[in-house]
Amino acid sequence: MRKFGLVLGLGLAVAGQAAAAETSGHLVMRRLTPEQYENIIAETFGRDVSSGARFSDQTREGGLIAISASKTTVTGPELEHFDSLARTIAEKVVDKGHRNALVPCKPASIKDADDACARQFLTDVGRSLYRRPLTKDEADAIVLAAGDAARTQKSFYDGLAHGLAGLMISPDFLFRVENVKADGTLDAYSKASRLSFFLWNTQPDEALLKAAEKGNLDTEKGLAREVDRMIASRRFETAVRAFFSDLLMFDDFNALSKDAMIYPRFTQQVIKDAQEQTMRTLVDLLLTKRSDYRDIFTSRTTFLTPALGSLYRMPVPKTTPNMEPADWVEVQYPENDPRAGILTHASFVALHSHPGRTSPTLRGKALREILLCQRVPDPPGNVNFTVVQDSSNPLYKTARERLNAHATEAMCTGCHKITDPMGLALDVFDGAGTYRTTENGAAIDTSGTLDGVAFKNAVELGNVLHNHPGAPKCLVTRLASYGLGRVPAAGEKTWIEAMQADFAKAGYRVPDLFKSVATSAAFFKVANEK
Amino acid sequence: MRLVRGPLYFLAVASVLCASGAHAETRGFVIAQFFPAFHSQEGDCAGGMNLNTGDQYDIGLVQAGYDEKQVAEWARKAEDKALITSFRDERHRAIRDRATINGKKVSAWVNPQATPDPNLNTVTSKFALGFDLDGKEGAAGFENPMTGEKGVDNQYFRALGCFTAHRGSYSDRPATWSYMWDIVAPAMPAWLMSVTADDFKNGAATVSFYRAREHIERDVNNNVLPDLTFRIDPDLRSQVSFKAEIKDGVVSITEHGNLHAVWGEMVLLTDLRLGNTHLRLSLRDDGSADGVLGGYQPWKDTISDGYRSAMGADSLGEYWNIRKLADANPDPKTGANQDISVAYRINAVPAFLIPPPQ
Repeated sequence: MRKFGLVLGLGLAVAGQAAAAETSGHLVMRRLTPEQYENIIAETFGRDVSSGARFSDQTREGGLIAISASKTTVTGPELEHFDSLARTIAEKVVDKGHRNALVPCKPASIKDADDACARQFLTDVGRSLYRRPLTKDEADAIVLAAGDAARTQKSFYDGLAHGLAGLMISPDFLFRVENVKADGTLDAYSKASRLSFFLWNTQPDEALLKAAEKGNLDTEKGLAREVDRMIASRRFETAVRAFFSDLLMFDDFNALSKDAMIYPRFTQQVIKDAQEQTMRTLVDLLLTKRSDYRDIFTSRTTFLTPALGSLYRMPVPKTTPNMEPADWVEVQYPENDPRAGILTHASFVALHSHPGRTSPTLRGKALREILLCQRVPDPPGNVNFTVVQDSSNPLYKTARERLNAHATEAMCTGCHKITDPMGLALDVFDGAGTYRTTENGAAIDTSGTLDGVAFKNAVELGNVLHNHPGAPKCLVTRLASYGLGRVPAAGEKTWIEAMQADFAKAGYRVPDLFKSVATSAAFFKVANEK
Repeated sequence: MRLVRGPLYFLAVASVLCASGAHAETRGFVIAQFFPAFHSQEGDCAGGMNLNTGDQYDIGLVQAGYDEKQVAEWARKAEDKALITSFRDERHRAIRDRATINGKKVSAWVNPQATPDPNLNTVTSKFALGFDLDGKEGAAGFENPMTGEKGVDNQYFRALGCFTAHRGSYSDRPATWSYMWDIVAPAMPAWLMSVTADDFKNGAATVSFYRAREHIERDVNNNVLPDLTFRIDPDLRSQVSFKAEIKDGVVSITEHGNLHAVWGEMVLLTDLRLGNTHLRLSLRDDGSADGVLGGYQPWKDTISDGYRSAMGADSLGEYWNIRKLADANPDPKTGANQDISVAYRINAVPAFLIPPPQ
C-alpha cells in the first residue's frame, strides 16, 4: 500500500501527481470545504459543538471548487486559523458541559494524565476524524502528546483537548488523503471516504467504516448495498445541495453587491433566500419528485419567501395552506407567467449581472459554461466597453441595442454571438431579478437562438435548454468531476459516455446518476504512478 | 394553498370585503408613512414660535409656585452633562408634579386638566392641509394651498403648528412623529389599505382599511419594502370600507363614515378613530399612493397618557391648545367639544393583501 506523503508547513504538496494514465486519472488530495469541516465536527461531537469554520475564498477550476480544492494548500495564516479553530472545538468537547457525553471514560485523576482513558477517547474520535482507524504509531504519538500536556497543565482534560486539537490540525483530518492499492484502486477506507463525501458531503458513518473493514466495498454487491443505503439517507440531500451549490457558483454570492439606489429590494435576506429558493426547487424536483433533471429549466413550481415575493412582485404569505406559520411557501407560476425554471431565479439572473445593470453577456456565458460545459473565451484586454456600460445613452435604450453597437467591433462579434442571444432573453429580469418589460421606455426584445434553435422569451429558452443534448451530458461530466476532484482524464471518456447514455436511458434521474458514478469501478481507479 | 399571481389574487380580497362591479380590480397597499398633515410656513405664528422645552418647563415651574432662583439653578444643572438628569432627579419631579388636586401635588402627565393653561401660541396662517369637514367656511376655516378648497378644518394643526417639534409640510414629517413612527412602525402590525374600482382613472371606487398580522419590512435604503404580502387581521374592529370616487386618478371618499384602526403599539396613537372621514389619495404610476386622510378625532386620543409621558416636552401646552381648539361633537352635558378636526398624511406602497380565513 502506498500512501501519498504530505509536507505540512507554510504549504502542502501532494507527492507524485505528474503521471497521467491512459485509462484513469491521477490521485488528488482535496482540502475539506468549510461545509465538510462543519459536518464532520457536528457528526463527531454534535451540533452544539459548532465550529463556525470560515476558510479563505477558493478559486474555481473546470467549473468547480471541488476541483480546485485538490490544488489548495494551507498558508501560514490559515494554519494559525485551523489551529485556533481546533483548540476552540477541543476545549468545548472536554468542558464540563460536554465531557460526560463525549468522553467515554473517566480518568483516575482529573489532575493527571490517564493514558488508557486518553487512548480510548482519542482513537475513537481519531477514527471518525481521519475517516480510518489510527495506526499504532499515530495513536501512541497522540496519547503521548495528551499525557505530556496533562502532566504539564496538571489537568487530564486539558491534556485531552491538546491531543484532540492535534488530531484536528493534522493533514489527515484537513485533507482528504486517499491511499492506493497495488492494483491501482483505492483502499477500502479511501473508498468509504470518497463515497461519503460524494453522497453525504461528510465523513463515513460507522456502518460504512465497518463495511470497508470487512471488505464489502470491494465487491459489486456490497458496494451497491452501501450506495443504496446512503442515497436513501436524509444526508444525501446535503450532498446534492453541496454539488449544485458548487456547480451554480453560489459561493459568488459572498462577494455579490448591488447598487442600493437601483435595486433597493436586494436585501441581505434576498441574497440568502435566492440561493435557498433554487436549492429547494432542485431538491423538490430531483429528489422528492424524482423528476427529469432537464425539468429544472422549465418547472413552474418553486418555493418563495415574503422577501423574494417582494423582489418578484408576487404574493407570498407567511403561512401554509392550513394557515400554519411558514417561512417558505410552494408557489406555482401560472401558464402565462414570464418565469419558469432556474434560469429565471434571482440566484441566476442577479448573480450573473453587474451591480447596477443586467449583463446579457455574463448570463449567456454562465449558461454556456455552467449548464452546457462550454468554454467561452475571456474578452481581449483592449476592448472598449463604453457603449455597453452606458445604459443612459438615449441612442441605445436597451441592452440589445447597446450590445449591437458594441459588437460592430470585429474582435467582439464572435464571442457575443455565442453568449448574448440567451442573455438577452433573460433581460426582462433586471439586475436584481425583478421582472420588467421595458428598459428606458423601450420594449425589451427577448427573442433569439441557442445553437440554431429559436426561442421567443425566457420560458422558451428554458424549453430549448431542456431539449439541448448538451445539458444532461454536461451534468454527468460535472458530477463525475465533482466526485473525482479533477477533470476526467482522456482515458475516462468511455466511462463518462456510458454514464451519459445510462442517464438518458433512465429518464435523467439525478439520484440514479449519483448511484451510477458511485458504483462505477472507474470512480475508484487511479492512474499508476511513474 | 397554491398562490395565484395578479388580479385574481386581489379579487379574492375584493370579493370578501368590497362590494364592487364584475370587472373590479383591487389594489392593495401598506401604509409606509403616516403623520399629521401640517403646512408650516414662515410667519404662520403671529405670536411667535413657542419656547423650547427647557424654557417652557422653567415658566411652568414658576407658574406652579417654585422660586425663580431655584428654577434657574435646576436649569443650570440640567445643562450640566456630568450630572444625571433622570426622571428621578429633583427638577424632573417638580416638572412632573406640577398638577394640583385638592391641594396635593400630583403628576401633570396623568392629570393635565389640573394644571394651569400656559396659553401657548397657535397657528394664525390662513393655509392648512385637510378638508372642509363641516361645510362651512367659518372664521376658523383654512384654505387648502394644494386644492384651493376653502373652509378647511384642521384645528389640530392650529393647536400644534407653533411648536418646533411639530413643524411639517406635505412632504416633511414633523420631527416628533418621524422619530416615533420610525421606532414603532417596524414592530406594530402594518396598516393596510385597498382601493377597488373598475377604472382607476375615473369612476366609483371602494376604499378599505385593515390591520395586518405582519409588520412592515424595510429595503436596503430603510424605506418600506413594497410588494410584500400581508394577512388581514380577522379582528373586525380594524376593518372598514368607504364608498369613494376616482377623478383623474385621485381617490376621494364620498360617504364619510367612521374609521377605526386598532394600532395598539403606537405610542403616538394607540387607536385611530375618525368621524366624518375624508380621504384624497393620488394613485401613482409606480403603484404607490399618497394623500391626506382627515376627519374629526376625539381630542383626548391625540394626546394620550402614553404620549404625555413619552414626549414630555411642552405636552401640557399642547394639551391645552388641543382641548381649547376642539371643534366638534359637543358633550351633551357640558357642551365642551370632544373631537378636533385633523388631517394626516398617508404614503402607501403596493402590497399583496390576503383576506382572513372564512
